[in-house]
Amino acid sequence: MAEPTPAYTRLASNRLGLAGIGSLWLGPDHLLLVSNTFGVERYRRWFFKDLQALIARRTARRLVWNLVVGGASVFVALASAASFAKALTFSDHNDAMPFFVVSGIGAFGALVFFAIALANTALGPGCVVHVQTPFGVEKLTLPGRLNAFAKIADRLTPLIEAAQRQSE
Amino acid sequence: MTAGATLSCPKCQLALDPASAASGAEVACAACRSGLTVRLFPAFTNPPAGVSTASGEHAVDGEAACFFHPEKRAAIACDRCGRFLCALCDVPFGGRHLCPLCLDASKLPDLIHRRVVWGHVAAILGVMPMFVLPMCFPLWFLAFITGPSAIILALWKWNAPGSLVYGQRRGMAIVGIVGGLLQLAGIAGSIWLFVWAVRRNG
Repeated sequence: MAEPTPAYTRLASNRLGLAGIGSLWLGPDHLLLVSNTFGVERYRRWFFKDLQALIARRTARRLVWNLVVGGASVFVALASAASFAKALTFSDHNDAMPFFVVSGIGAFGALVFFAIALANTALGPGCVVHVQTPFGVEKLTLPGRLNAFAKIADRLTPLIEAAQRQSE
Repeated sequence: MTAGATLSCPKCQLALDPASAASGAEVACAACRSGLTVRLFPAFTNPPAGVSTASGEHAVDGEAACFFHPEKRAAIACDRCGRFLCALCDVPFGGRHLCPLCLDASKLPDLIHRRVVWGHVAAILGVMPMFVLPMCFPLWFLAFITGPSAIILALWKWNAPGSLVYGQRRGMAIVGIVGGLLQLAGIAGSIWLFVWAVRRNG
């Protein structure tokens, strides 16, 4: 006789890591971390009554991504501007057209990189989350942002406290 | 605060003061200067008592006895199969009380720790070769294996239990079937093109 599957609510969206694609789910009395590697799902549970602490350590993830994507944006924008300047030196429009096209594509690419950097900034600082139980501290692959951690912790705290009051 | 457990920085393992961390605001580790946000729960200060090793009291005539130890008094019934259990055989699990046999049967969703999502595997086999094989031209013949495999897997495991969180993922299985058919169509088209070119050039 198969038991009915408990309903899970997603807490944090998918994130690619070394153990595959990870996602965090809220179960009736536990947290569930799902790691999917080429169709094989592995489940790790932390029951509310066992959780002692959630610890988020701030990382430089946002800064690193902003440097990489912002740097790419500046580089592409400069290349685009150089192409535009070169196009202006031609008197014949037909000769200048390829440079205008390259400049336009470059400007679009620079805007895309800039938008990614803006979104990365808006998501907030990066973090690594750890779960402490009586058997030690374990790393969660997500959430990867402090803002998301705060939201998840706010949602979990009353559930965990209620479960621990019940088991006392 | 009399802490039942200790709190330490996950990066450098230096012990932290739970009283300052309990405020919920970010605190800096004194050694590695990592910014730490900590949420403490009641189990931190009041860790659960250890597992009882009591083997249960002896049953006297007329009293309900444990299914596994008839000489012991039943303390509770298994929430899954209803067998009477003594304190030794009672396994509290996820807010329920189970007997060792039910726990061993591993049919409880709470005990599943790994599952193959066949619909997902079929989708990977159906779609991935269409992007990978054209880039590795000498390996195109692998589509002879991956295409039919995707279709067979998707149909064979159509009713297999799916993901614990997403469900059966039949949409993925359909993607696998379509991908497998496209691969077979690609193979058939390539063979037809090859034969046509050979005939045309005499």
